[in-house]
Amino acid sequence: MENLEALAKRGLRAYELGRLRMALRVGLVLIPAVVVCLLEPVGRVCCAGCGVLLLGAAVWLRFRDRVGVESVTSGLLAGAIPLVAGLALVEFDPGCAAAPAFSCCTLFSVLVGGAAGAVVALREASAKSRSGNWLLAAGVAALAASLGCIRLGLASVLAVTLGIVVGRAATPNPARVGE
Amino acid sequence: MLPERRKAIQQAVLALADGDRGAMPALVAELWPVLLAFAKRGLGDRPDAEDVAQEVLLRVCSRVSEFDRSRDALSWVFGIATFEIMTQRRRLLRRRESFSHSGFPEGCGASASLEDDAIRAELKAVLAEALGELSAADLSELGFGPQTPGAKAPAVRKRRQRALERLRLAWRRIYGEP
Repeated sequence: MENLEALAKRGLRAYELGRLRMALRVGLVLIPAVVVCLLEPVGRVCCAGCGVLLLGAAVWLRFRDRVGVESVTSGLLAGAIPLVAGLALVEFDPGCAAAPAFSCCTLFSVLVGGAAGAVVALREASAKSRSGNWLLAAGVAALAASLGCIRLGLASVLAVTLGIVVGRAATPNPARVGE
Repeated sequence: MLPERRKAIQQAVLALADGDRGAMPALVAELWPVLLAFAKRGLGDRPDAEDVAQEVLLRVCSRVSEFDRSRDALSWVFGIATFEIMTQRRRLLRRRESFSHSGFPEGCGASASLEDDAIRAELKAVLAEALGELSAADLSELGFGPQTPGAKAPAVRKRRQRALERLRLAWRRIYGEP
C-alpha cells in the first residue's frame, strides 16, 4: 500500500492539473473575443497586447482560488458591456478614434463604464458571488473593456475605468450598507 | 461513519475548492480509509480494490475545484467512487467474457468476484430447493437424471414442457411470483 504522504503528493499534482484545466476554460470565451478584436484593421498590436494580458490575468486568477474565479466571472460579465459598445462605436462612428479627450465619445465611454461598474456592484451583492473581490473584478472588467475601447484612444480606456469605479460606488448595494 | 469524519471531509473539500492547497493532507487522511472500505465492498475485497480507491481519490482531487458548495461532499465523492467501481466491474466482466470466448476453463481467473460467486451459490441453493419438489421422472426430463431410452422426440418435448411447468409451480409456491 502506498503511504498517505505519497498519496497526498499525487493528489496535489492531480488537483493542480484539474485547477489549471478549469482555469484554461475561460479561453473558450476570451479567445473568440480577442479574435473579433483582431479582425479590425487598425490597432491590432494594442488589441493583441490587451488580449494576452486579459487572458493571462483571467487564467492566473481562476487558477489561484475561488475568489479569483468569482472575480473573473463578475469582471467578464461587466466588461462585456463596454467591450461590445466600444467595438460597435468604432464600427458605426469611426470619427471617435480621432476625437479629442473631452468629447461625446469619452462621455459615452464613461457611461458604459458606469454600467459595467453597476454590474460589478450587483454581482457583489448577490449571495452567489459575494466571495469575489470587487477590485479584481473591476480590473478584469477594465481589461475586457480595453479590448473594445483601445482603438478609441487612451482617453476612452481611462474614461471606461473611471466609469467602472464610479458605477460600482454609486450603485446601491445591500451588502455594503451593512459593512 | 462518524459525524466528525464526515464534517472533516466536508471542510477539506470546501477548503480545496476555495483554493487552499494546505487542506490536501487532511483530505487524503480522512478520505482514504472511507474510499478503501467502499471499494473493497464494491469489488468484493479483490486486490484491485486498492487501485480503484487510489484512482477515485485522484479523480476527486482533480475535480474538487469544480465542487458545488451547496452539495454534500461525501455524496459527491461516493458518486465518483460508484462510477469508478462500476467501470472496474464492467472491465472485469468484459475480461471474463473474453477469457470464456478464448476457451479458458471455468474457475481459472474467470470469476468476477467473491460477490458473484456468492450470488451463484445462492441461486444454486434456491434452485435445488425447487427441484426437490419434483419427482425423479421430472428431474430426469430436465437433465438432472438418466434419460428414458428410445422415447420419441415429440413425447420427450411434451414431458420436458410439463416438467418445466411443474418446476415453475414449485418455484412460485416457495418464493412467490417473480
